[in-house]
Amino acid sequence: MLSDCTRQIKDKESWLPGVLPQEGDVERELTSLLATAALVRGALQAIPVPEGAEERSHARYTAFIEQQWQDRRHQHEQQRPWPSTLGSWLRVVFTLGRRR
Amino acid sequence: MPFDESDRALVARVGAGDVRAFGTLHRRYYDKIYRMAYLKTGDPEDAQDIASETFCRALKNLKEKPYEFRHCDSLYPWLHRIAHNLLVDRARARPPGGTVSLDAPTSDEVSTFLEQLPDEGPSPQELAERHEVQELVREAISRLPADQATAVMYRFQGDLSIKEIAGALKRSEGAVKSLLHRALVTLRRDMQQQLAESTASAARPSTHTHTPSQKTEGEVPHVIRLHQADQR
Repeated sequence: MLSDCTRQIKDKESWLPGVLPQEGDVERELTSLLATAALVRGALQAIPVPEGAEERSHARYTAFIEQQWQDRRHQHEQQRPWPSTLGSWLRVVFTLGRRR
Repeated sequence: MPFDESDRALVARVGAGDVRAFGTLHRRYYDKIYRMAYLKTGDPEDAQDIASETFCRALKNLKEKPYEFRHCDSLYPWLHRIAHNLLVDRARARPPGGTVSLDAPTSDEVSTFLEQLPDEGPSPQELAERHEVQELVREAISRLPADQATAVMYRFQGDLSIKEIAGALKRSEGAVKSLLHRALVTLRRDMQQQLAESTASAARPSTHTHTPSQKTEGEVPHVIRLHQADQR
């Protein structure tokens, strides 16, 4: 009778039996590799995340967004007003027209 | 807003300027990226820095180059790649090899567990919560070939399906299964070797004189000298 824990591990790694070479004690090999998978999964997901780390990261990317907005606003302000741009283009057109 | 909105939908919203959608992605993946960075650096401060920078880069790239994220339904592989590149750029990744301490009961329990997945005794979660077991696994993963390590991280850290890993690695599903199988065999062998060395070092008579502050022989953690990468 399988324990709930073992059954869960087998369900999670249901891809594994299909790739095992069909030689030797297959059942024993499968059990051992399932145990390895469970230990690796457990260890990777149990690494503790320091308290407040996520909030600090949130604050950092929020500040990053603010900075981007400010840069964009600054860039926009530095652009010439449209009458000035239009005047430049009209001058080019007028000069070319006179040359002809 | 749907409770479990897909990553693709959230990415589309970020592209349209919805910052709250990025907040959802951040909550969904911060812990995983932190753990990935910690696994590589072994330093909580560095790992936090790398994880935070990963999300700033991701935000920038999602706005400027949203087409970069397209091979997988999950954003995890893409974030993992950004974090990996940051680690390489900053040379923060710790080289494989080091010293892991395991006490005798833990060493025995892990050995038995790897052999037969016993129905009795500590569960994988209980074992994995012990710091020395995390270090044992971490060291073993750090010695895997790069493609196997990535597949292991995607599967066991990112919880990606075989299909999603295949999409992210641009390989067939069969190739991914084979890669993961090889990785598990290598990890088991590596961990068993470390545990055997631990037992051997415990059996050896100690040449050190014990000071009163030291524990008795049976309680002394078994210090395992792991092979340095260049000695393999």
